[in-house]
Amino acid sequence: MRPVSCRWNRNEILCGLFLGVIMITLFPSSCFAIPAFARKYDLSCTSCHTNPPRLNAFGEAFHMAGFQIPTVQEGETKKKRNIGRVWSETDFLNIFSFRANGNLVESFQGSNPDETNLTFPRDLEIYLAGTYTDEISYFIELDREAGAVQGIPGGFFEERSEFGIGKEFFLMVDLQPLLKAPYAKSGETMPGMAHGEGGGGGIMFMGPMVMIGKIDPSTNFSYPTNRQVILNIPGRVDSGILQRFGLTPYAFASKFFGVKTADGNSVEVTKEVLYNTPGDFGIDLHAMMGNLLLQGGAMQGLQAGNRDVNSKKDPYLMARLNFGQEAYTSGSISGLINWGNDTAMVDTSLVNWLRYGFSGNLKYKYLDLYGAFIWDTIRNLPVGISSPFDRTANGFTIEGDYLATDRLLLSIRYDQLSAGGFISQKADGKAIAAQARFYMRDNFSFYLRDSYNLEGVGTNALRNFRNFVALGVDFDF
Amino acid sequence: MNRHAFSFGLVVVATTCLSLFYTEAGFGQTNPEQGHDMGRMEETGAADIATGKMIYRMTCIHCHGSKGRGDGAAAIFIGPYSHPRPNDFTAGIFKFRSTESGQLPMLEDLMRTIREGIPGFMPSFRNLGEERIRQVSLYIAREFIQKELPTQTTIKYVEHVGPYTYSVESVVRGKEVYKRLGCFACHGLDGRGTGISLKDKRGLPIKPVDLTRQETFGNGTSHEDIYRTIMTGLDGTPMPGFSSQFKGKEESAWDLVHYILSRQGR
Repeated sequence: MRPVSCRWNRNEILCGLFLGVIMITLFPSSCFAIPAFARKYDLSCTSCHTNPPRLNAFGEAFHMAGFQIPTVQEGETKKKRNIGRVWSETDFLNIFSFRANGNLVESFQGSNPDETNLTFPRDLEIYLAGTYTDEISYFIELDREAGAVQGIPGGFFEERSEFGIGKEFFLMVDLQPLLKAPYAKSGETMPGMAHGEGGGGGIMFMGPMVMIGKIDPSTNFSYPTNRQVILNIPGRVDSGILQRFGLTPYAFASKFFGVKTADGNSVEVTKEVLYNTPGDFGIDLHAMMGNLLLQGGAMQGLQAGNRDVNSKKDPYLMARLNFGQEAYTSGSISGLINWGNDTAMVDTSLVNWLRYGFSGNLKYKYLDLYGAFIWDTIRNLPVGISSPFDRTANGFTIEGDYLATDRLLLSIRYDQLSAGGFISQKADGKAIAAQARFYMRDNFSFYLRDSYNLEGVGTNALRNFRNFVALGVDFDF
Repeated sequence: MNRHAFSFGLVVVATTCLSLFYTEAGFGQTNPEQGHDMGRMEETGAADIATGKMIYRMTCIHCHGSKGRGDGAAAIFIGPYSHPRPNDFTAGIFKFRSTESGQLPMLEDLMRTIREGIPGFMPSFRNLGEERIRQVSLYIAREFIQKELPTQTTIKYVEHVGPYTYSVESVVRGKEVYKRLGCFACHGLDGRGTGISLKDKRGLPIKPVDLTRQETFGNGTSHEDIYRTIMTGLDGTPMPGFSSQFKGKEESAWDLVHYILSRQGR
């Protein structure tokens, strides 16, 4: 067993603990996800969320409307009684949030070597989010992630701790004012609404909205990448070699062994990529018509960041159909197609990447079920590559969350990966995770989780632990 | 055809078919013919009702549901395992009224709730504007309540002036009223609302309001709001209306209001 280790230095831990205690003590009314919005509108977290960060139907509509109450476009003109005004015009606490989440104790059994770590939450996030005008909203996230696995050239990896632009950093612009005229068939009365002939039976429009910057395009998918109740398990690197892949929802993973980014960096097989990236540079356009949401956009390239290594960009299309607005029931199904345009590299050749799949979500009372099935295919694979290569892969993830009491959230998730890539390296994966999260306060919870590798221990980095247990914390202000 | 081409085709076809079917079948849209003709409601313009319907379907539907039963997709998490839940308009029970307990609210009462919101649970829609607030109130009345709303109340609302203004003597008298009416049974002697388990009409646990914290007041925090809450009660909850006890003694109601305000340091 590896000695207990700590990935943060002493000063960072003390500083974090101090801030945490202060915020829990002084601001008990904040909540998970984006508590600034809860403060701004004087609402509880569960007005927009089922189990944060999962959104309910109202939260989805709020997001769709550009972080505003649908039909009430108010920009920053709305002022509410709050914790205290900092700026004369804008209450800073109405746009500022802070979140810390991650494991405190984590233990891998059956791995080589076994290890138990005492650690401090890996993710520290600061948000500034709100509406600048009625039509322009912003989301700025600064993130400090400890021990994140990053690919580097030569087939190697490294663990980095970085502070900088977080998963998302974008402007969202509502284009509807520009398109108002075509909707007004029989006398439109307000933004977001178009009356049919005779009135009362028309179709509702929201958007189109444009998101520009570092975005999570899957935010409108039935299973959004960034809304995980069971947090990802980070990978482990030793001397440039990946000793253990991270555990993420396999449906969203890159799935291919031996594939690199267009500029030659290694790509972790379980890294969420393309449309399902937690955040990357791109432009997104989405609009809602009745119960149908249509989305299209283009991303910079596979883990390209702000590097212009893919001049062709990666376009995608997504359609989502919502259903249910009564009997405590709602849900949606989504279909996706994503084309990676010279976005990745196999050996030394650029290849295209086709991703498609669907996801679904059903919420009934305290139960929230969601899953995704994603297929990936590497196209135009060059002849004469160094070894046999499986150019197809798929991943499946399904999760259920149940709020058993007003304080206890139970979750279970199953992940299945049918991997592709170099046959000499590749390995499939199956894992099941269970978690109990107890909410001490609205803005502070502990969780206990267990992830079990159903494929057993193997020589491949994907299978190098049998069981993973963690005690963690999720706090935000 | 390889298995990936087949799977891809399946996804595209399924999504397209379901979208078309759903749109054609009109699911998720209420029938505009459903509304009943009811006296004054008939006089309101169809355009007002239609606009109100649109607002409702874009915003209110998520909590109050497509049939106004308070069972929308987001409803249950408003108060998980506890009070409050979004109101069921069809049940005819309304917390926030200026009418006697057991009566329907006036249109202005619906408008006030929409305009002010309910701290913690329902956002304020003030920026919607008075005309649109009226339109959505009309739609709720016509589509879900389906009865004519009262246009006046028998409760006497005296203005907060003259003998009814705040004074130390009034606060002292209010404290006596607080004891005499038994308010302490739920709200506690110190007004903090602790030490008692209650349930609302749906059988959900409900906590008495902490009278020392104005942010917990769902029905508004102004002097007039508190006066109205005491007089009308909050139907659907254990809070009764006290209008009969204060009939002809409205100054005593104001004494109680002043005592509650004093508990908040106001």
